[in-house]
Amino acid sequence: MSEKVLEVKNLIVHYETQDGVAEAVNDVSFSISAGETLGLVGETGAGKTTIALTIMGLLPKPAGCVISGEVLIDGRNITETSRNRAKQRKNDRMMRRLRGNDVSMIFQDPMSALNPVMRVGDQISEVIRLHSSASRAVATQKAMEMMELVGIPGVRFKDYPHEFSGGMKQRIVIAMALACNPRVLIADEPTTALDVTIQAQVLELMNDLKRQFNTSLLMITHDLGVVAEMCDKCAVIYAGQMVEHGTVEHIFNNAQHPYTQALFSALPSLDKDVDRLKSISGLMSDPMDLPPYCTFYERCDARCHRCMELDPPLTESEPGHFVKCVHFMKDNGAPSPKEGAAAAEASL
Amino acid sequence: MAKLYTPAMAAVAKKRARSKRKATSGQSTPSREAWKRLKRNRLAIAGMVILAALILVAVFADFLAPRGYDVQNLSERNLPPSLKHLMGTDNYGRDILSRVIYGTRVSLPIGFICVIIAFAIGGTLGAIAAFKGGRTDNIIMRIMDIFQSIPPMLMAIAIAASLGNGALNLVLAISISTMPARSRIVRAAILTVKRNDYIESARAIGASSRRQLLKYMLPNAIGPILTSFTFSVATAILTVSSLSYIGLGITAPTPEWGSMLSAGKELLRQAPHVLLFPGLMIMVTVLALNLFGDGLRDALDPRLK
Amino acid sequence: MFKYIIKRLLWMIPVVLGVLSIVFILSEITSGDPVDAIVGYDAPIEVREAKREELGLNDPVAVRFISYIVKVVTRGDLGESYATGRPVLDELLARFPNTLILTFASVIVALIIAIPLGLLSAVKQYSVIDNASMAFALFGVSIPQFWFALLTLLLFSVKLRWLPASGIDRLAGWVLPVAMVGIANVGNIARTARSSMLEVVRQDYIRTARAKGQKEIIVVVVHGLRNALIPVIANVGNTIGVSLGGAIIAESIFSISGVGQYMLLAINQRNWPSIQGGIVLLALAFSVTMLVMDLLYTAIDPRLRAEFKAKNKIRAKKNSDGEAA
Repeated sequence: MSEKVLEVKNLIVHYETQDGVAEAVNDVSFSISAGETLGLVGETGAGKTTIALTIMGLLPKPAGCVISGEVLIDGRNITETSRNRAKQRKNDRMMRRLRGNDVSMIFQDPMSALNPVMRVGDQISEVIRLHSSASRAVATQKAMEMMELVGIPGVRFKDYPHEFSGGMKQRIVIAMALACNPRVLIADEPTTALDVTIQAQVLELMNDLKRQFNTSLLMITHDLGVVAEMCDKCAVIYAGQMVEHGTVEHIFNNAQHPYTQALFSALPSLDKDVDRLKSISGLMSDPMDLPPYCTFYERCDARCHRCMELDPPLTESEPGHFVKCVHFMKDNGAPSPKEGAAAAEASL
Repeated sequence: MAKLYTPAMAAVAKKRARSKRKATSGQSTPSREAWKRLKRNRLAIAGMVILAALILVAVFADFLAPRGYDVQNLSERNLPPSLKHLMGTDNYGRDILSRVIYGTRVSLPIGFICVIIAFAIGGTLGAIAAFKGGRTDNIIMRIMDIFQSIPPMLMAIAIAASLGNGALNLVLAISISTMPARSRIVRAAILTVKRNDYIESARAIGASSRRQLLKYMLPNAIGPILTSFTFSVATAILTVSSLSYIGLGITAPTPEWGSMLSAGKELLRQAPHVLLFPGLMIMVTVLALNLFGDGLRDALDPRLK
Repeated sequence: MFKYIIKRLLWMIPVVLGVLSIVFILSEITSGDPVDAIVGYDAPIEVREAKREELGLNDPVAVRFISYIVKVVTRGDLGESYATGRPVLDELLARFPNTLILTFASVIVALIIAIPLGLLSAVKQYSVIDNASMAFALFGVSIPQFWFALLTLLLFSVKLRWLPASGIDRLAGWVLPVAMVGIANVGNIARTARSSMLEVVRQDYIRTARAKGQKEIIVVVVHGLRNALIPVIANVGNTIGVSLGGAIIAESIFSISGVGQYMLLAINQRNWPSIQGGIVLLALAFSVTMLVMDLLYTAIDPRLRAEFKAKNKIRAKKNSDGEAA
């Protein structure tokens, strides 16, 4: 389990638009080992999809640019760019070979992810033929097998996307993503657009296939239930920064960052009788105008004067559990025993 | 970061930030946003400036034109451009510059009037079709289909041929021939809006059909209609000049740009300058309208472009 | 699909009747006595009356209307030209091929030039290529066609003497007329193709294709092109209609013996059977073209094809999973 399939190091991504620069991803690092599942949790606009697109090398051009940091897939750095045209072409070619073969992605909306004027079978066999020397017939055969694998009769090979329901379309997207047996699969909110009854089926399917192929999975979601069900590790993203990172047990049993705690208190619970769910007041900071101090300050229940003085670094609070909060900083002597830390303890 | 923040300061900062947010959100209505985008579009501004200039020329034609538009001087026929006649003279010795200037009083208003009539009739029919739906929609649109089975130019030629020459007949010919297409535009725009949830909620709060149509649907459908209006004027001006060119519209001595060119082919060899300037004026006018229309479309639908 | 074709064919009946009615009404409201056009103003009154009786001009409007429609529909009889006395249909059919060639050549040439132009601009948005081709397209939709024809005549046949100024006895004779009719089409199609392609490359399925590791050029051509062409194809019918209008004027400028030139001459002579006949023929040709375009359009877009299939299926057994999106 120690072999790192995907490594993201100090990634900073900006969108440069007419209205200004949006700091979408600010210094995010994580890694996934073979067969492991990492959950990336956060609200809409936190930068989760941007991270995924960066890994795929599919940032919208020319707005999206990687300012610094590295993304390593199987040890190969894919964020390298070069002014030298020939070199850049080589980089692009390498990235193309990785995409769909070593790393593939399931998009949020299965309704629009498939080409409406192309038969689904052709869309699956396209990726197979791209990354292997398989003949058309062999690729077709393989595509049909993949369809059977995700629970769609192979005979529907010749159907067009509009002839399938949303859940089935997502199955086809999954079949397409796994067709070349990638090392890493990125799933960007794969169940958000689906009916609740179908969500569980799709998740189960992904879990099965992941185990079968020993694929690493980067699961992007805003649904903590999905994380609990699917993931080994979990990272909480807020305003493009990682605010908490640890195993699922760390996060679920000992949430330390006020934001993570707030996320949990916004969840309905079966064993506690709560009259009213807690919501997180306010809005996420505008990525065009991030404060120089803790980005969660304005919405934090546990804020204190020191939160406005500095932007706290990610600190290891217990082995393997990282938190980005003033209250857990070590170099400042004892963590200030403010209500934040107290609340963190109390919630255990 | 040497300065120490106190909670009180933070509260002030927060309040300020909130009021700033409120202020900006209050300003940015969709139409104002669109206007902002339009102002940023240099080509659209260029189109607007040209149009404004043409309108000014039309208003002050009497002061700007060196001569009357129908003053003939047979001793000065087909003269090339010179200091005395900046654009030369035509086959009757008329000053082309003067005729081109007076031409703005013909082409621009006729183009606009044609489109206004086409939209008034066609648009009303389209709006009724879209709003009522079902059988009404079907009947209206099938009639439009039949009208549209004659290509607009052919229809305009047929109507103009039947009614005879003259500005009024030309306006009728162009308005009627383009009316079905305009009805489709209005219908499509309203149908798009009709699908939105706020129409549903307007119905839920018990707004009358009239109110639903006028208060909720039209204002929201106006974007595409406005864009298409601009493009339609451009097309109408081209059609006016084409019909006049083949002798089916406005005839001499009225200085319509297209009719000024109808003697052009015969004069191709001796006096090519005669056909240069009127055509250039048509193109500049149409170009300005198209530039403005493009800008309008991009401003109203920022996803494009 | 079969049902749709039948329905579409049946629709031609009201279209033909509608066109005939419009044409008849237009000829009724026109001023001037057709007898003047045939026998001249100064003919003796008895001759004029005889001609009136012969043409059935003394019958009530309703009778004339019915007899006109019956004549056209049952015998294809469009009447005789006042000018030559020959059947209008014969005269029209002799000239029809030239009009067809001019119209379709200008549409096809325009498609061949404009589609790559529009797609290239979309793919290389904001580049020099994009700006140049969009400037050209804007010029194409803004220039008056007949003026463009006069300018090209001046340059290529008067000054350079490369191309003939009129006549189509040589292939070169077609160049300027086709260019005149085609220039507006190039502008329109290139602009449509560009915005359609820009819309398509933003779609999720393009991102999916890229995520497969497909080469950019194949993503654009295989996945983008076909989707982007759907609105362009949908608009070809209109383009043909506009070109038909352009062809009428082109024929008179370049002295091409076609339906347009024939009609314009007939308008000058107040020769109504010929005018009516020309309108009916061109409208009919246009309607048939639209019919073909509609069928082609459903062939290129599987969603539309499915819509017809689905409609039949729903009627057969009323169960669908409400998959409308």
